[in-house]
Amino acid sequence: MNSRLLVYALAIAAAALVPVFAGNDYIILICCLIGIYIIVNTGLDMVYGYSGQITLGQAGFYAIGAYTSALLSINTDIPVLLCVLIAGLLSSVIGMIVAFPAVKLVHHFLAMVTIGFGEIIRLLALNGGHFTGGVEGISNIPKPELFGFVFADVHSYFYLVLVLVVLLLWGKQNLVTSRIGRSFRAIRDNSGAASAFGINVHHTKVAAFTVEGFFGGVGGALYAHLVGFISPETFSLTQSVLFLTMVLLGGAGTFWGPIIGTILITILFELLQPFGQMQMAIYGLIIIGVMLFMPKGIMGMVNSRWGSRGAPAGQLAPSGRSH
Amino acid sequence: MQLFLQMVMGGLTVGAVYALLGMGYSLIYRASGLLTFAQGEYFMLGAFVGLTFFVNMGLPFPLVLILTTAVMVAIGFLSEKVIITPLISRGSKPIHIVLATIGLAIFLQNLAMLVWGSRAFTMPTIFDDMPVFIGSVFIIPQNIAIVIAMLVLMGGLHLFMNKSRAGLMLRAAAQDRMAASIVGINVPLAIGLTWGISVGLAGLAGLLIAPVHGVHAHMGLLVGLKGFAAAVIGGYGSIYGAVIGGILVGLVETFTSGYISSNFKDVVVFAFLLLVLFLKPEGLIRSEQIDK
Amino acid sequence: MSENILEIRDVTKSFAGLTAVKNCTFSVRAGDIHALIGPNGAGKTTMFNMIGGALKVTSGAIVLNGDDITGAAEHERVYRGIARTYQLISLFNEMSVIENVMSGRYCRTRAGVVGGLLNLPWATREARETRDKAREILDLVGLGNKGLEPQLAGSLSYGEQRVLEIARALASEPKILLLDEPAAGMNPTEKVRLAELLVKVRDMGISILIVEHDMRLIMGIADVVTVLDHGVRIAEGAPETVQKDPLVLAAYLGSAAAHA
Repeated sequence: MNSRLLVYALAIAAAALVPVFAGNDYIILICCLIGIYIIVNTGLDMVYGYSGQITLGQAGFYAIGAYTSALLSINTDIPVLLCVLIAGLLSSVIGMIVAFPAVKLVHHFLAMVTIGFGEIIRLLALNGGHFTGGVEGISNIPKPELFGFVFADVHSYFYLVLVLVVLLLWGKQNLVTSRIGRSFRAIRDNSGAASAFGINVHHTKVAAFTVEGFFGGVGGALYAHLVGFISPETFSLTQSVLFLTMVLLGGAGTFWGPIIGTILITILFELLQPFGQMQMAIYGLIIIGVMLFMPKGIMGMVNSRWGSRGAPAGQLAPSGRSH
Repeated sequence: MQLFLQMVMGGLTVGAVYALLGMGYSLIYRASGLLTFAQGEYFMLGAFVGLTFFVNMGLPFPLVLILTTAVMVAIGFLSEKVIITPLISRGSKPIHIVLATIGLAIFLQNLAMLVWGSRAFTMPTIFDDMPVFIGSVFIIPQNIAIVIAMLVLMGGLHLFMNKSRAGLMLRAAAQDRMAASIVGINVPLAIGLTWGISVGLAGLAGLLIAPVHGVHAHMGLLVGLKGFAAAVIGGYGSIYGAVIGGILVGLVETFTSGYISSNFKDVVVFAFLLLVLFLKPEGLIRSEQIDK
Repeated sequence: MSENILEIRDVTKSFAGLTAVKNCTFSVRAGDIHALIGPNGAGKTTMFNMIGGALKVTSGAIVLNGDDITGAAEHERVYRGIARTYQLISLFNEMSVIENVMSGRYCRTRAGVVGGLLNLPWATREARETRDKAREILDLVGLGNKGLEPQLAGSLSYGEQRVLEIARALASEPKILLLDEPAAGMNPTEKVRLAELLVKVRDMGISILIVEHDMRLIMGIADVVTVLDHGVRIAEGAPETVQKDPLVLAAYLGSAAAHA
């Protein structure tokens, strides 16, 4: 228990020191992106890792969050941070609405519906005319402000993201060990028995997608205010695949998995940058390799090797997805 | 009326392409119970391979057709052996296989860009460019060729699957692996061949549509998704359903372009797909994908 | 409160022309251990699935405590007081032992997404109560204080998993407990403990409907026995009487003969 808190504290401290040691602003920008991706992937993991549902529509929520917050902050006087929250909530509600009919489907049909959802959102953004800016997208998105302090440079923005990452991971950890979190894992492990114990499988899946929507929306909003410019191409299916790959590589259904996966894949992408077109081809091969050789991800391997069977209940969700 | 008929013809042409891909999805689903997301990239690859044979090497078109088909069948067979079989033998879950095929799709698309570059190519047609007038409707010969080719392929596939020994072997292997191997059918070969045929169909579709739509590395993604939509709408796992679904998707797309705006044709197609999945999951498709 | 906790009224179940249960009628008295026995394929598990709501009846009615629940969804029935275990163990394997029991209390607790996400006071309080209650039940069934709590359910021994299923069912505060072959795969010591536990549960006022092949166990603890054969009720009564019933003997011997 205490050692666990110590690990958390050390991880936060290490993250907080990143801007101090980072050589340049570009590295800090990448770290901001890592933080944002961690938020998105945390939501994704609720649906995929904890509830056992396939989802490839994460970029859709990411887009809804980005466009909502960008449009609100440009066209209204609502404080930017409040726009971020509203964006998250709107994305969450849309997640709920889409999930209601969608979660009756399983496997690749659910995959297809979530892809369809993501593509529809992207195409709407692309063809939204003046409202969404079409192909050009939206630029000059304002920076967040708190009590007169503007998070204008990547240094301050990094700390804003860090605070939100910590808050949202705290929320995730609370949720997955709560009554609702147990119902997520119950439908994943054995939906028949879950139903026999009063868990409404359909509602539980909808709840998971609602949570995913919130995290995805907040992530998208933070992205929009970070780079100050959004366009539809950012929110393609490739982005959804990228998110899911991060979660899978790190290890779905675990606390550290999505964090580790996000950091590794983002760094890998940066390292592959000089290879140009090869970058994406190698990335494709890496996905296949991960699926073949470590489908439970890094945390899944760590846990099965060093056996965290004794993970204290209520502290850490049991590792990896099984079978 | 003239515009209407024009659009029907256009819808049939793209519909035929979706149908060819959809047939592939259905075959693979029946053989392996799986979804592949690489179908669109095989379609793209078919166009590039055909382009290389036809333009770069200057081979006669019939030979191009045969060679392209052979290459694509081989690629499909290899994909199954190198990626899918190992995944299944490791007991992977459907999502892992789905993601692996997405990885494959990403790889193929970028490989194509490495080999052929990212610009769009035009593919000469062997038919006359001049539209033919039938009554008051003018029709591009290539479009008719595509629709006819689709019908021929469908008929051929039907005969192959139902009348030939090899087809019987494929159907038996798809239906019950255990029983098929007991009666002496080489199941791994049969499953691999089924993938080969599916990929061959996608590649042929790419080659056939190339003179109309051009050839470029990004041509596969949307077509692949719409081919899947065709398979689902027509009845997933049914080869003839995929044809009906493909034509439906093609018509919906063309009519949306014609009467609303071509900007929204893809949105409408996806909305159509979602609507079918939400409202008629049992009516139009088999019941396996429903979670009580 | 009626005298019968559960009434099965003229229930029939057909699967595509095959009749698994045919015009079956019986009642479970409140406070009884009621055994449902019969040869393989007699329709016992089908009956369980209909009572629990996993299967719909083809015709007939199921009445719990005076209320008709024939049309109620599976997850509603547990709120009304039916909890069950499975012939094939169906635990949440990737969850810890205590969390499995806590999941059983899902229907008696209320914390929602927001409460869970933000650790709001009432959700925390409820979580603590749930955990305490789950510990009590683990103690009751004999899995408490062994350091098992944080282990994954899938890592327990077979007998322990069976008992854990009962614990999870008890956590939902059932009026009636449906046990589908709880002693399957248990060693003799475990069976004795199981029998003691079931009597203890009955004495707490929870009725039990049990399907079990171990006749010694059934005859030792059952108050009433109903015998099914080929989906039809062929006998009912106290264990001693049923044991001597010629129809029952014929059914068992017949099936034994068929197996031989």
